[in-house]
Amino acid sequence: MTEKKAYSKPTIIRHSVGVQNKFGRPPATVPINRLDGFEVSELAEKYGSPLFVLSVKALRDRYRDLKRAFSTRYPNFQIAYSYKTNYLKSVCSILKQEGAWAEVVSGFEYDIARNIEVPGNQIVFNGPYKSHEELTRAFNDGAIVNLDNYDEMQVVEKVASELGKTLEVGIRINMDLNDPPWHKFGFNVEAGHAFEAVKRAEAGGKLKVVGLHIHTGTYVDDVTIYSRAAQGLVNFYSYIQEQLGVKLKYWDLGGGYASHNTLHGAYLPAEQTCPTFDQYAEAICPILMSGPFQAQDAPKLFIEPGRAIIDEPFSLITSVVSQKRLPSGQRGVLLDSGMNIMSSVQWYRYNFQSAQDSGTMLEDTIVYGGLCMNIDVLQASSSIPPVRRGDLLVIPHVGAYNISQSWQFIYLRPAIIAIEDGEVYVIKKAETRDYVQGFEDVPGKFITN
Amino acid sequence: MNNISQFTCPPKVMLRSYGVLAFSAHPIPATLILIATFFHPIVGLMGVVGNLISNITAKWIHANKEAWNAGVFGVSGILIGLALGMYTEQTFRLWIFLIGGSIFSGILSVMLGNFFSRYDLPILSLPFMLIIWLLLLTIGVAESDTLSLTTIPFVKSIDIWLFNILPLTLFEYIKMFGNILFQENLISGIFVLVAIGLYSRISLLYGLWGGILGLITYVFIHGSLDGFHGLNFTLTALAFGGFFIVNNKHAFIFTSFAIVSTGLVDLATIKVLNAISSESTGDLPSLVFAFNIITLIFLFPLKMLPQTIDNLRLTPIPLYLIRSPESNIKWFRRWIGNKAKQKTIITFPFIGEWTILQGNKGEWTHKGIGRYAWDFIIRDERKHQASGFGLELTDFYAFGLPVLAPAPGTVYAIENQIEDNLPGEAVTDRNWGNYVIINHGNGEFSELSHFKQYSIIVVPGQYVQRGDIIGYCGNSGRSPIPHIHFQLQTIPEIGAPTIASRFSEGIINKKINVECIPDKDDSVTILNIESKDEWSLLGLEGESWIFESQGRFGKQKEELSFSTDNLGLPAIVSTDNRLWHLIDRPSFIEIRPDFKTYPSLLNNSVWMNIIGDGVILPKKLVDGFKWHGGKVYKKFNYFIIEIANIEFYIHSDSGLEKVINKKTKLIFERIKIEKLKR
Repeated sequence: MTEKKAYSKPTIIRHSVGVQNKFGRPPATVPINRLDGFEVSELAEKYGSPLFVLSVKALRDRYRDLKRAFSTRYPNFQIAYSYKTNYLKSVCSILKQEGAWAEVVSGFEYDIARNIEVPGNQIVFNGPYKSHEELTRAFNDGAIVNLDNYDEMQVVEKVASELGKTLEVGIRINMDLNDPPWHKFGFNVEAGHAFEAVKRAEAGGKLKVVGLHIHTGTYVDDVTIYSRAAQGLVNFYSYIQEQLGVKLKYWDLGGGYASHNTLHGAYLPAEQTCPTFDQYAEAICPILMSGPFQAQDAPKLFIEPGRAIIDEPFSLITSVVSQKRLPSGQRGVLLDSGMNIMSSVQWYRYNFQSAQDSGTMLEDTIVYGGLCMNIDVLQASSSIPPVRRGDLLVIPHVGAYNISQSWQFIYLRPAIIAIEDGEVYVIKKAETRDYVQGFEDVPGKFITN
Repeated sequence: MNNISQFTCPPKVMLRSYGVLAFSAHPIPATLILIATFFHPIVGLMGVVGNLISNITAKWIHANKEAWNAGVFGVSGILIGLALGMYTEQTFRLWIFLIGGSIFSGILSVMLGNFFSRYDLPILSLPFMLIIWLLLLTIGVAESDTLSLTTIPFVKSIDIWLFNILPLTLFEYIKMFGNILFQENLISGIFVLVAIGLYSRISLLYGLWGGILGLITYVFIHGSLDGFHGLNFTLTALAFGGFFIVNNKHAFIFTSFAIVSTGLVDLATIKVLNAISSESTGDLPSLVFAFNIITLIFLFPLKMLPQTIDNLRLTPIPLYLIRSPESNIKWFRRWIGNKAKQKTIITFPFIGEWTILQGNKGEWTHKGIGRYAWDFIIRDERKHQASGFGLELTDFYAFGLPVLAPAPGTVYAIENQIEDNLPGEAVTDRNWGNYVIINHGNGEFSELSHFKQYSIIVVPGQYVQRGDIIGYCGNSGRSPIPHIHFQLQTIPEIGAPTIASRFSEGIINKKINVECIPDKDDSVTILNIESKDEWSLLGLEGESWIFESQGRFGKQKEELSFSTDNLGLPAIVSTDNRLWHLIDRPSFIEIRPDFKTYPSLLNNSVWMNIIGDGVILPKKLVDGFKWHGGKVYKKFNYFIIEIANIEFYIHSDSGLEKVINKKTKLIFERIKIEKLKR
């Protein structure tokens, strides 16, 4: 017996989009009913809904694609995975297996890396705020430290005195590459601050500048920005080599590589605009190779991708709580996951794919999260087929930031599973009340009547 | 050189002459042979006198010093002494003949030596043969019953006793080895056998085989064992059995032919000699004529053949290198090893991980003269070469990627104009498409082809370093999909025959390899080791390291000096002037013995023993580094490189300090460093 189609209250809607026109057939969605060989419904039944699902194969493939693109164009290349985008221990461990180093921006992230036994000298320590203790620990471990500001430089000089040796450091620099420019991190090149910083670091006698770090922005889908950043690095390096005799051991082009998610306001879908890794590499590597060195002595090139490798492998399984009709006539769908676990909805226009055959009659729908908050809107306008309570939706490409930025609010946060080679692994259990309130203490005084 | 020393001959050279008699030039076997000649004391004495005079004469007329030192000019003198003693009556006149004959023998040896050296042929005992017949014809051979040789009574009684208890064939068989010294007793036969056996087991086996085959041949041709003299058979067997040619199964068959032919020549010689003999001359003995003639005849064609890698069945060894059959085999291995190695240290001509589409002797185009080549492509995780459908060249991962110089050199020629083909299409009229040929300055050239149109960024005459970008991968020429073609050749023309080559180092299928020949579908990555601790044996010219070693024969001192070889390349010279080449690779250093440097059975250099046929050691040291040949780990201030059972202790500051062979317990430890005096 076939299951009944989802019931949708009869309304008359104008097919502004959806009918066949001169560009082709209407947008149709193919339901995502399997994830890496497992029925979505079975996964939801067994591990609950909502549920984050990691495809380990997809993660490894993304990483290897990126590595291939750069390592075939630049002789001394290393990926440092940006922990902040997703620092689940399993994710970090898989990438460590693949050969990634760790890019951390706080003592906490540093601790995560050390906890999964990333060697100290395979950690790149960035971030605007690093405490004295954290810096001491990093230098003791031989980590790569990029300095953000003069205050930090002074702390590191203090550390150098305490450790009694000259410390090798990198300097974070920024340039006018995009609009609005990213001037938050490091020292500006155009204003001459960066040159002053390198000069100051060398002059102090306690530091030796061996690296440069530049971060172009986030979700940069214009490869020419990277070309300009690379050219800027080459020019700056040539200048400081000539003026100050600095010889770099590494340079770091930061992160910001785009993933296959469409930004709000983007004209075309990300599938068409997101550059391939080869395009990024082609924009960067030949320019860097023109730097002031022999090919076999090329400084190590770091890039710090996060989103670009971690977005695609994760999907979120979520279920429909209700479908309702708004006074405006627009359809609304209420889900059991809210923006507390989907913070990237403020960036991305996610695809909400049905996990079962719900027909092809797509309708413009406002997607609400499950929080009891008016602002909890996951998507103001999304084409979704008719669904009913209990139906499952799959949101692909949710790996970056959503998990590390999630907050516990109103609901407990869901479980996270990983699938590889036909095996399902729970890499993080669903939260319990004990977990959330375990650290709380109620003084007896508050309890007695 | 003063006048007196010109007329002396050190005992060791005289002794060597005795050793050369039985192809065993080492003091111990030579002494045994010397003793064996003294079973007839007077004859023995005549041998010594002949030896001394012959050697001194040769020296006086400026014989080749090396050959003289090896004792080859004394051989005929000894034999003249022995033969005169054995075949003529003892008179005062005889000693005058001996002196004159020995001087003549010295001169004739040098003359023949000079003449034969053009063909690298040995003089063997040819001078002796020519002179002894002259002498015997003059003096007249004594009737054997009139000879009253004074044999040591003790030897004689043992000989008679053995004659009674041993079967005749066995007795004759062993006695035959004494014939080499014209001795007619069993004990000298045993002495010679022991001497040969001590020096070389291969020679011993060949000698025994020569005796057996000789007996059979003789009986077959002659009909009986009467008048059997086995010396020609055994000598021929010893000469070809691994001594003048490298021992292998072909050499064995060849030697056996030579032995049989010796029988023929010897019997024929006896017939001729008998025919020309008269009352006054007596029966002229055939002696070692057959051996000399057969050895020269059989050796000459082999010496004239060009020795190439493809023609290794019967390999004669240059005379100056010969020590023993065993060392010959070692030399031979090294010789082919060196011949098969290209001179250029090449690394992969690309960055990152690539895959081999077609390796050496590939199925499509790497055939015939082009068989030692590689085609490199890129495949992703899904084994695809392109993203999408691969309809556009730009879909291919490899298209437009940098191509690097595989080794330093000067750009010899380029082609930059040829249009790239669409995927799946290939032109065959301009096979190589856009190409770069690099001259490595050592007679070898790299050829890389199928570059993208107008992408080559070097010009002929430009010097490139290893790893410099020379252009970008394309799809020109006979190339249906973008790939890099690489080959090494000895002629600078495009499409020249390829030569067998190896990549110095690289990561093959995720494992670090040195000297590798990756094959179809192997993934290959250039090796890039990062290390603070790099050591090297290079650049220490003028320094000499003194080592104390604990070998099989107790403690001894050995010295290694850093120097250069005849091409000006870095090398190590050891105490006894042996040479080791130091070959500098990007991440490794190879210590390769010169192909003349090999241990003989009685050499006790621990360094020689440990290095053997050469080692390749990592140059950039990292704790936990592993490659297919061994591993590196750190212990206190030392990095220990472990290869098989050998541990090399490298100090992070001062380099190689100790080598231990855990299996044979040989220890080689540096005790000091000396500056060489200039």
